[in-house]
Amino acid sequence: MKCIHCGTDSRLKERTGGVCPSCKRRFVFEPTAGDALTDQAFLNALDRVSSHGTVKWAPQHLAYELWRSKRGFSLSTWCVIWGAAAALAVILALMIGFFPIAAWLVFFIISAVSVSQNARRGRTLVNSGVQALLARWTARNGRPAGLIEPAAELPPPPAPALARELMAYSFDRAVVCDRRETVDVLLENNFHFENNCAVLSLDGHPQHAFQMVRSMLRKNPRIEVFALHDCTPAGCSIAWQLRNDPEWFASIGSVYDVALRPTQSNAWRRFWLPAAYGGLLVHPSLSEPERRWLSKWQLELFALRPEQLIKRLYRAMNKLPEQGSGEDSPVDSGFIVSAEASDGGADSFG
Amino acid sequence: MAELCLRRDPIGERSLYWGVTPRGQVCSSTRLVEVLAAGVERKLDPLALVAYLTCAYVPGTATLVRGVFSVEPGTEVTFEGTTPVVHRYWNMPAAPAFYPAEHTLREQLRRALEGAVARALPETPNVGASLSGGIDSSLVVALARQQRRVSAYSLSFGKEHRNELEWSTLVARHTGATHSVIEVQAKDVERYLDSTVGALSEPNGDPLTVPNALLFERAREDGLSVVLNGEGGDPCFGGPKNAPMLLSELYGGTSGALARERAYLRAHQKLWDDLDVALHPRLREQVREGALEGWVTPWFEDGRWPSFLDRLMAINVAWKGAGHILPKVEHLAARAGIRACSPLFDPAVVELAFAIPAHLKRSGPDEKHLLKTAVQDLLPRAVIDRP
Repeated sequence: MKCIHCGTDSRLKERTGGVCPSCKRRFVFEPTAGDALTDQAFLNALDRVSSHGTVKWAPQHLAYELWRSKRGFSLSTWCVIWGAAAALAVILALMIGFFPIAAWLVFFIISAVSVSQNARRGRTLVNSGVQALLARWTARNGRPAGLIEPAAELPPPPAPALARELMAYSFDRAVVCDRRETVDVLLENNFHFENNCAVLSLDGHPQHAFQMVRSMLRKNPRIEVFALHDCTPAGCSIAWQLRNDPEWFASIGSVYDVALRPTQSNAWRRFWLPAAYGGLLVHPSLSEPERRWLSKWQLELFALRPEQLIKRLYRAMNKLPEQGSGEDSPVDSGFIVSAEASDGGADSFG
Repeated sequence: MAELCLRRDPIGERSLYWGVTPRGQVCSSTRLVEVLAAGVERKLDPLALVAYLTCAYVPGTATLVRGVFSVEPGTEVTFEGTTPVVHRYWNMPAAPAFYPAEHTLREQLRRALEGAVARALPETPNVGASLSGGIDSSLVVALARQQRRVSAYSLSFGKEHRNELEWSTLVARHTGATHSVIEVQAKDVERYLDSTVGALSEPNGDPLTVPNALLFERAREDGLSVVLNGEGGDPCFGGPKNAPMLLSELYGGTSGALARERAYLRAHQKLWDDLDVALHPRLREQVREGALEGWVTPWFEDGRWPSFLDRLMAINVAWKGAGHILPKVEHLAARAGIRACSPLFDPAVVELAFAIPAHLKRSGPDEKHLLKTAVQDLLPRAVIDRP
């Protein structure tokens, strides 16, 4: 196992006390003791999730990155492999007897268990496991660069005179998210600053600026609002709410649902999580196929690497047709372009 | 013995440099390289380099060469021995105690714009104008057309890239200007990059520099001697480039020591956040932490303007105008034998811009509100109303 500090590759018996035999620094993870990864694998994941230190990221991004690195083949690929192996087994069985069928059964059981375990490990990472891994890493190597953590305290509001002046202005565009964490990812990466747009969550984040910013946005009769959300029942309904809620943008401007909706989810199939909501879904913003999907599955925006999220959001905001319908229907404006090739991780721009 | 007095115009439309050699002061009213050629020691100024990487130009009186200075607009520089003595003869005016009524300001602005364009026009019947289709260049074309035949030029980078040709064509048709579209491709930029760099006095990181140079060349080929432009509208009248700083104030990105200054530097969207990667450590350590921010601080603390937007306007006129846009336009045009004029940077227009309250510059979502209403009779409604 390679030491991330000095590069020395060591065997288990050389790592007495979990320490590198060369530089004497302690490893964080030890696969032979049950850890699912090595220090180098964790460091590689940090490098990828931060796009080589250029992008800020949330712990959930790291969870998906670790899951991504463990995934192996996708389920659909495995189905092809199982089918091909089954066909071969049948042909061989016709020639030499039952043995190939038995071999195929063993192969199928082992690989199916592995696929299932990978999926379960991934869900565990996403749900809570990554925090424990991060805590162990931080204790040994310090806080990873670019990690977004909740602010200890809110920034002060603008001085009264400045606040009065700012309230007289407005902006042309805004991104509204279902989750505060998504807002934080965009703000920490200066998306608002670099794209001249406000960023808010539906439930009032960031608290210190929310009321003022929303009031300013509502002054613009031509405001363009982009809804960005998880693929969940709540997420898929925020565009509708923005469009119809008089406290938001009812009869003001245009609202576009950028992502994620069930029709956009296939590219991240392996990151589908079981739906948290088990009841009947009835909402005017959901079509029948969407309701069926959402009754079984959900998909988080965190499945996309933050760099990809930012790039795709930028493309979606800048590629919309000029006459913008203002409807809640999803706008396939490039958010999932090349998604199958990148699976959330490509460096190409969308 | 003769006394040297260097006097630069109020806004910075023309460059003026000086340096000190063993034989005494030298100056150039054209290009910095002429000061260097006179024997000034050639040493890089690390802080000016940081400024360039951050802004894509070097603001203020510094240049990339230590010991060579740019005369600040609106000042005169004399010398006591080798020590410069700076006297300011023009300043951006303070906010008035009382603002005139909106309709009065609108009329004053209209007269100021007409006067600025008239002063910029050549004696000949024809004048050129760069026309992007935005409100600034469009109003300049419209006002010029009232007195001259106007040849308007617009840039296009091919169908696969967004352009404003729909708007520039509309304006040209509406005003009766002839309209030429200059297609620029990557191979053109590659071909003309060296000659464009050679035309500049100082490095300029504006991606439109080569296309601008090609526009001036085309105007020269068409026999024109003067080309007008719409530069100055954004800094003087509340354009969209102010939005990042307003967002920073709202979201708390400017709380903390030097945070506002850093937000302003970051707003240039160049290498501010990547300086540690861009600079060699030995060079980086020569620049004191906070030094570049210190260049910004006086502008945000200037008591002449109570409004944040007006302080932004002041620093943008001084930095982006005098340090970036105007020198670029001056030198590229000069290489083509063209005189470039920016009526919206005319001192009378700039002075009046500071007499307009902030809420008439950005009124809700309406940017450049008073500017648009002052010229709305000259242009198609769609151009006035476009976001």
